[in-house]
Amino acid sequence: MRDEAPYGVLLLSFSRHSHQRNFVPGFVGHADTRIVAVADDDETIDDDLRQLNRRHAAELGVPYVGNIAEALARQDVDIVSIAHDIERRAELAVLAATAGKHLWIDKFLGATLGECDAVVDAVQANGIRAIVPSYHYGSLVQQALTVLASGRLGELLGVHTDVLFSKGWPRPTNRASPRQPPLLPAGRWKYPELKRELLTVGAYSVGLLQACLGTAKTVIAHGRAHFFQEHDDSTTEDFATLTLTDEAGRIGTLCAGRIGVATHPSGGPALARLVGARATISIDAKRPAINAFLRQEIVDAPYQPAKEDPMQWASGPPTQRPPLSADPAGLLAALDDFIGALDENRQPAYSVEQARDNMEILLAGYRSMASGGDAVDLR
Amino acid sequence: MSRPPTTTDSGAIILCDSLRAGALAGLPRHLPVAGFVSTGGGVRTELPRFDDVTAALDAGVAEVVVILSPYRGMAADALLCRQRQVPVITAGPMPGVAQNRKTGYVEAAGRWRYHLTVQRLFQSSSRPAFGSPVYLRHIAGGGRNVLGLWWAALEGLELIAGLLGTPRRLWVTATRGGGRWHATITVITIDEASAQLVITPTAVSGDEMMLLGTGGLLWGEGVREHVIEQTDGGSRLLADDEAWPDGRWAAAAIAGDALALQSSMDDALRQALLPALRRAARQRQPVSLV
Repeated sequence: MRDEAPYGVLLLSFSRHSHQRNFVPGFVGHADTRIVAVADDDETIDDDLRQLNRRHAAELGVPYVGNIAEALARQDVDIVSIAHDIERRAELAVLAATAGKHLWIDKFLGATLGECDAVVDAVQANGIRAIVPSYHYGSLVQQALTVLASGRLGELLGVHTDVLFSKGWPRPTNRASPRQPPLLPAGRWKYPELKRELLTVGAYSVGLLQACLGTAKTVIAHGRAHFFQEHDDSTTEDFATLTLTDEAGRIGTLCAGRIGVATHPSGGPALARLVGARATISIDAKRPAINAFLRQEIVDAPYQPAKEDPMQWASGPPTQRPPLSADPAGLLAALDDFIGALDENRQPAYSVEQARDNMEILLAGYRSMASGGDAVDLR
Repeated sequence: MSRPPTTTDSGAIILCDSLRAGALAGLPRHLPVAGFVSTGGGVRTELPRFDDVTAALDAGVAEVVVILSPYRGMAADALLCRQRQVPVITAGPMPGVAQNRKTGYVEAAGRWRYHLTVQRLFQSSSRPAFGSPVYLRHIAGGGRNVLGLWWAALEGLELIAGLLGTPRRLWVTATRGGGRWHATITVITIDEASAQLVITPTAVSGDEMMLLGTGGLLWGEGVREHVIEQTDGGSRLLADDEAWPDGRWAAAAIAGDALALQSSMDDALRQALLPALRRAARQRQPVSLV
């Protein structure tokens, strides 16, 4: 714990497309942070979100500020946790950086590579610190880095990962209809009833590939709507695969998607295989775990998602093998790294530059997907 | 679990490298085995050893030669066997169609069909609850050399075509390090399912396979299915000969069973895969085959 006062944290929006709610326990529990306010631009958001923001502020016992510029002017704000819709994230990050605030950014810097570049530039120009906590600190990446550091693999040749969310209630897609390749995102990610799943789920796996491999050179991807009519109707993917090679010719592959409830005992596989010249090492981020086969809970299991959260963005189905780890996503470790970076005036392990590159790989995947599976060169 | 092998005075001579050595213990339960020849790497086995194929043939015990892992001199050995009138069965092709005709060996491309996990995947994926196939992830060993990589890729492609359907795109990525090979085959089928086949340079005991359907997930966890021995010195997996299809396959191939012998792939594509693997590793980027 620092001797000085805790860093004041401003929570920018509880958009239901974001993870702000998951960040709160860390900010509340950490000795060096305290939440000072919740803010959003009331004039630009719908009433549901306005009410949600206010409810979270009330629960936290902090003021709600209905104007972001006003909130950023507060002297007690040191860190801004940005979890607005992806289409507004870059604008808010640049505003907050210009105001001299440090940034905690949920998953994506912006909706386009240009927006991501603008955030990187703003962070550098204003000399503030920024972290994107979602990709580097979780069990899968940290175990992989431990293996790499051990030297057991010999020369690393490839990394292969499967991260799937056993969430949502699939409805058969209309497979008889002509199936077009998924649309290029073209700066739009937000749909009221679905998420683009290469982006949403695949970004975690890309974070692992970034941690282990060098700069991506070539990307091939494929995706379709296989599980949800909502994705089929909007020509977006609910499942995707991506293969990349880095500048040294090493290979990375991933699959990512939302595949429906009751398809995995731990809520979906989270696996990595590190392939070296001397060894192949398999990591299961959902282990160690405890098997919990309780008859009544299984036969009465409430698998049907709640009506207000049909894709289970903020909830999950029952699991029979929950992981033992208290922090499998690594959010608490990320907060420790961020506080250390602020105190020691250093970069956190995963900042805006890495998040920008993560988005570049995903966008290359979308270009490949839209082309029907052509290879896309990045450099 | 390993069981004591039963060898016979005459029978099959088995050839394989260290990556396939796990299959040896179970072979004598499926066919008479007279001896073993290593094609590379340290192989521990209780089977009678011969230094090479010539020594095995000279011993007069070989009724058939069964090649489980490819090696550079296999065409010459196959020719020698033909001259000695000893049939040769291989689990994959030899490079170059013309050589195959000359050596007269029998390629039995269906070893993958005798893998118990594969058989169960086929059974389970035919159940209505599975729905339609979406994705296959398959991790297999084989990259001790480029020929082993090739054979593993071919078996994986047969599996992909069998479970998911005909490929409409096929990408090959490959790399090498420390004298070993690693490759990924990425397939998109005409029904828009996809597959990622990963071939490691190391042994993979009990291949790992994850088949995703619109109705759920089928998953053979490979190494996690093994019997585990725990001692003061730590934990280790005990070899499970049932995890290897080689014994069941070899017996069926010798008997002329079509399932053991047939390939579902076009021969030109099979032969094109080997140079594609080399080219992908040399160019450090994916090579498209279909």
